[in-house]
Amino acid sequence: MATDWAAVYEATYTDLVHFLYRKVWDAQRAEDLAQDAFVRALRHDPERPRAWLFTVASNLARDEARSAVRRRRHLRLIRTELETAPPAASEPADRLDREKRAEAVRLALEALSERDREILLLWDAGLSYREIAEETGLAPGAIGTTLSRARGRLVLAYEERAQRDVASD
Amino acid sequence: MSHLTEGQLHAHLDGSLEGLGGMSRDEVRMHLSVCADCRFRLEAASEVRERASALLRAAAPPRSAPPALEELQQRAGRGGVEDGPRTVVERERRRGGAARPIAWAASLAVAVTAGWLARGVVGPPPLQSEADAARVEAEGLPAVSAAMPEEREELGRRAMQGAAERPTPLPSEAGATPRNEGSVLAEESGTATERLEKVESGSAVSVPLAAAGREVAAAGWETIGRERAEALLGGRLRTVEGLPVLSVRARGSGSDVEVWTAQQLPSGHTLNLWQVPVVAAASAEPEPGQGSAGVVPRSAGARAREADGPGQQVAGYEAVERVRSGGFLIEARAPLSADSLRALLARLDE
Repeated sequence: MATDWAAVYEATYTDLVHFLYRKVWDAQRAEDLAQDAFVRALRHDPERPRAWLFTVASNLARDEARSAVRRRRHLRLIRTELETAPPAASEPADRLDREKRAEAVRLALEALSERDREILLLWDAGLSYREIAEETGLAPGAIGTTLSRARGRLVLAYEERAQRDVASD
Repeated sequence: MSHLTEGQLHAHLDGSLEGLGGMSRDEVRMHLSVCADCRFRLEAASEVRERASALLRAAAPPRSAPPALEELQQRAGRGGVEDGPRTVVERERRRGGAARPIAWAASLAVAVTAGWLARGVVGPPPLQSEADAARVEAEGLPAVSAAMPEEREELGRRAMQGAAERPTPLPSEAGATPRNEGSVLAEESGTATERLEKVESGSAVSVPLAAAGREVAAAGWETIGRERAEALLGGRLRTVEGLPVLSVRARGSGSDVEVWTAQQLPSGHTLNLWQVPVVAAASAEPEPGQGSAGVVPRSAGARAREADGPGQQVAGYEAVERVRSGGFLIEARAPLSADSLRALLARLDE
């Protein structure tokens, strides 16, 4: 059966960009990688395009992360991006809070193991347990356990950082 | 009776119990109806789940409009994109890897430049650049290695020759970017100097092209290293932190020396910086408060382009920003918004 690519694109592109952004922390590159993943998918016409897209995107992001130089630059880029992005809230204090919160979330995510982070991001991107299992090679029954651990650690890492920040202010 | 595991509680909250080979939804509900301990734990798990989701939402990228699917389909159908140069990751991997990947990355930069020259518009969105790249490649421009600037110069010359031989595109052919009055004036003017003086409006200004293809063909520029550039300048070569330096070139000497540095933006476009000693730039020094994006100055890169003669100049869109620092005047040009260019210049290394 022919894939309805328009529907797949509409349903998946934004999720894919979000997924990639939380891996590479650069909005422009996240979009570039998402587009590359789609170009590859359009050429391969996989049976399960959504899961396939996330697999390819994950590999692209992994390649990206191998460059330590890039990683250092990401920190600067995200700061620049946050500085130049139009603030969602009108109050400067809100904007500062938003920037701080995004940075803290990024650090909390990076405190997770690669597997926990991957599964958490895949779930957040809208993949089902079964799709996540296929993507990661875990047993479907283990996804809930992994997700519960990843969520707990994310929240804990974020709260610990927030407390440290409060103590240092 | 054993209690539910954390994994079962989260799978229950996620509506994902069915088909996983464990307890069914009804079995979990039944257990929860009789087990206060598990109900309490379910509440706690629900809070953690909601909190984690909220945190992830706080780390969402800025919104942007996705490209049309048709454009991606064009890329997919064109061939070669699978190993293609669209992304930074590909370019990065290739830069440190085999010769073919390096050639891909360089060919993208050159193709985009040649595409600009052919279209007469600077600063197209990435997918338009792709279309330009395809057209340039179709016209037979070969890929060159990023490590071989001589070849790139030759390619730039060939691209310019091609642009000169082609008729000036009509506005409708020149791409989606609208042209302002300044760009029309620029195209109608006879010399680079006249064009530069007449064009001055908007946050994205229309100026004679300062992009790589134009500049690599400029006469008198010598490719040098950073140390040599700093020796010529008698001070530090200023570059934007974190951006790869594509080339450093210089010409002139003493107080008339000019150093032109090209750096690669994350988008794949080129940031051009011209650095001159303030003495050399004094005649073109902006008034206080002037020199921001939107006003095209006549110094540094401008003087460099004037000295090159009109050549095959093409009007296009790019932001221009000038800063003075440490005894130098630095002019920056890039196909970015004015705000983005200013943000980049805030990262000029000390």
